[in-house]
Amino acid sequence: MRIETQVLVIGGGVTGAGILRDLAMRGIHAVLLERRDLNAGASGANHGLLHSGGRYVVADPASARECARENEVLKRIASGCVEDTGGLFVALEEDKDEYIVDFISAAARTGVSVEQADLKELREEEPFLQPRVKAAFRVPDASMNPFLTTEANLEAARRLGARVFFYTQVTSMQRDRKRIARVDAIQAKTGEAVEVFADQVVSAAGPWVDQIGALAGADLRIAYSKGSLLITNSRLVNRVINRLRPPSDGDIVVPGETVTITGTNSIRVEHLDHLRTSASEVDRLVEEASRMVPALETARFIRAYAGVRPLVLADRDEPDRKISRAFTVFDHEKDGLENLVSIAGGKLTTYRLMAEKAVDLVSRRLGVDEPCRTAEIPLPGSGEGRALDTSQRLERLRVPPPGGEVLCECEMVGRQQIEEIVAELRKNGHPIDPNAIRLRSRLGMGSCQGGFCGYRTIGYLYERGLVSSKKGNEMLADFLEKRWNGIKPMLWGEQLRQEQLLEAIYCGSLNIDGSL
Amino acid sequence: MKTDCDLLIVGGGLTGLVAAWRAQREGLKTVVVAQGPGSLPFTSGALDLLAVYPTEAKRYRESPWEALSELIETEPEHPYGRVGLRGARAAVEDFLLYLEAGPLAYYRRGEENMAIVTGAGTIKPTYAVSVSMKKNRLAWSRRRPALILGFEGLYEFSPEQVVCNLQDRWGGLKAARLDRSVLLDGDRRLTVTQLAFEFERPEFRDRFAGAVKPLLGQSRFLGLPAVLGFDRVAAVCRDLEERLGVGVFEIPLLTPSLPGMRLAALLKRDLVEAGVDFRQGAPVSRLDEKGGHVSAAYRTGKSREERILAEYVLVATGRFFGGGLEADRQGVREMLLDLQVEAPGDRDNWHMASFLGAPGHPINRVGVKVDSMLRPVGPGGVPVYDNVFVAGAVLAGHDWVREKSGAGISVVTGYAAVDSVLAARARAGGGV
Repeated sequence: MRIETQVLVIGGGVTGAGILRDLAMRGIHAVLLERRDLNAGASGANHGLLHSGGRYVVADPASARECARENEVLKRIASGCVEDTGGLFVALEEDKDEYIVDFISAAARTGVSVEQADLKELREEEPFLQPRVKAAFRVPDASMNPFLTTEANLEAARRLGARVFFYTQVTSMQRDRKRIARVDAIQAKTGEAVEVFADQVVSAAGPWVDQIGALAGADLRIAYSKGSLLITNSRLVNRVINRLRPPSDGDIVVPGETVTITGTNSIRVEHLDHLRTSASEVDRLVEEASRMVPALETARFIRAYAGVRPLVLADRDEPDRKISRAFTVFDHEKDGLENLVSIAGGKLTTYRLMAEKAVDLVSRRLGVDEPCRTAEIPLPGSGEGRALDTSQRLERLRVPPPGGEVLCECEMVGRQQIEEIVAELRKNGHPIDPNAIRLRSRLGMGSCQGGFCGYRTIGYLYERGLVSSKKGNEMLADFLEKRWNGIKPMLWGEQLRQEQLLEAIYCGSLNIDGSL
Repeated sequence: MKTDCDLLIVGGGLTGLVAAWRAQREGLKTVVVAQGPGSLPFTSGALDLLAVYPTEAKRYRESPWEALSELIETEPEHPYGRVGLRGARAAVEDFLLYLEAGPLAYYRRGEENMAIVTGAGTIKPTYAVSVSMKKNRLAWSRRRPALILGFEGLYEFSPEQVVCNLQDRWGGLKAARLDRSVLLDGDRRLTVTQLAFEFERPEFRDRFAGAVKPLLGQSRFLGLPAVLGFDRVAAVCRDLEERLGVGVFEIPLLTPSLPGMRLAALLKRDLVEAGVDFRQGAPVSRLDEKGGHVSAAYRTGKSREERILAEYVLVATGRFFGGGLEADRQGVREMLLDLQVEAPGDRDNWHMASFLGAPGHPINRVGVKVDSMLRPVGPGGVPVYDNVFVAGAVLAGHDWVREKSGAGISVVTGYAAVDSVLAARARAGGGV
């Protein structure tokens, strides 16, 4: 396949999607390649937290300012992806008073809205919060669904003519002196070769940005910092709860739809694939988060996942927690490359701003004079106005699908919703498998972790003739194995019981591990 | 309230039911305390004995007895190793004679394992199946033209999945679905139990046969998900065969699984009829124990505490799913008597990196260690109680899901534990 375009975007995370939308809105023709599915890297492995900036006020004021601004913007333009929970910073008895003082003054300097909370009121609002809190502050943190956000950005871009290719991996780049003349890629599912001729190339490959850069001969200095997060099967808090202390392990608890997400930590890794969360990491995160929300100690955790933050290195010896969480746009002209831009660092909260800065540079190079309007126009599915509040969102989740046709009982995903997603995937030429459906719904995200609904989904795909021969059963085994990576570290208590039931069914009753 | 008994069985899964049935027949006054419905309703109801050995190689064995001899030789700490070949054979033979003569008319293929088609379109080896799955084996082994029929709205079963997975090895196999409006009114979602109720009604079977007949074509067999009624499944199958003129068989599904429920219901009914005192609901809350001897168990009901005085106690509480074992982040515990259980190192080592890979997860071999009398042992292999025995999945040293040995371990150790009780009683001078 031969593709000609003005701009090639590499990476289907939230930043790449934001860039694609921004380009399309400025009338620039663009194509996005992603080697896997949406949010396969850090965009799909974070807290789902729309930062108020409070987290960064003391150590990283520039990031704090960016967060504070983008927090307001996204609540407006991405209201359908944001649940406006509000957030708290809580100081426990063992936390230092000096940090509280620094926090308040730094918040004032950075424009992050902070309001002292009445502790008695707080106990009523957050019954699971540690009762021995010595001080608490309200901040405008919110919960944000990164999958919906990426999807909405891609959809906005598609509507303006942009094209998205998933499972299409960039393999090499042909240089013609100071320019990338051609980008070669391969479609993983079909093996088809893809040649892209683009005026400009933007790499938003997350932690893979250095590898993509290397294909073009650009030198990027990136460190890989793994952060692990844990999910419970129920929602224990109403607001985002942050520990009021210098950033450390396990000090954020985020309510996300029907679950609670806790994390994270920061561990240097050398490789990006096969990320695992060890039992000792899990134990430390549970212990730390339980200090703020004691019910987490006995909560039912259903999954662990890990993402890699690409940290832009100024100095290799800097401790990871101190490296700025701000982002960097690399203008490779100084490396002698006129048509490559890389972007790295940052966070979910600042994805739109990152996209804006990258597209500003690309526009200048292309001589396009259109201003960025992504901060003004809402995303598809996000009407004007405020983000949905908790009760509105939960109401939406609790509506049972019509006709009682539930495919995923843990998360109430109906057959009709699956049908709509499948239709959308087909329209976009996307491979159809349970994982692709999971990323676009909540299928397989609940207590059974896909054990029951994955099976039903395969049955549905067979019924509809969307898979044939043994492909569907292979997909099912593949789906179960992919989910397993996040299930394995969490197997104790109820979750171990659940796993033993699934293993008994799949291996005992159905012999899926060794069919004759 | 106080009860006296010879044998208290804690656990109402297959192991507890089998042991109770045998103990009562041997003249022991038996009480069963079952916390819940047991794990049988979650199983295929097929009796797996041993079909994969060694599990490292995922080697399928046509002859379970040959595999069993090898296993007993190489793994003396496996539950089968503890009981031995002679005890295993006697138990399986006796129990199957009972099931074969009963209303579920279990069927085996001589001394060999058989292969049956599952709802996932996979082929599962097993040793014996109820009458409703007899022709499942027959149709598959002879690859006769067959129609696999599903129901709109029954998401637990996709006939297309079965056909797609098997058609390269089974010509003349085709899939169809019955539109549920032909059969019933109401919600579009159909459940297994709803269909089972319907199939017990002749009027429904009449309508069903009328709708299916035109779909059969050249098919000699009709394969249906396991929904053909509850305890009257044999009559339902026969009736459908007469109406349709083809062989009818059931295909096992994932939960809820009727063949497993039928087996549980049959056993419960028969053992209660035989005089076993079966108590489901409240679990054993505490025990009286002193000097390595358990003398009584207590259940706490809504308003009062029940005391069960027992001469012997059989622990048949199952594994993690049954509640016999529990794990927290630090380790694994046996829940009834805090019997010694060793977890396989720290939690990173409990499971393999692959969910479905060989040889199986190390945590699955964790359980209660016993001596050759199935008495729980402490350090040094010395029994820790003089009147407590252990049977079934809670035992250490096996991986029934990978070996395909689940029902076999229940039956063989259930029998052996009762044998041990009888032997201990004879030694103690208590006549039967």
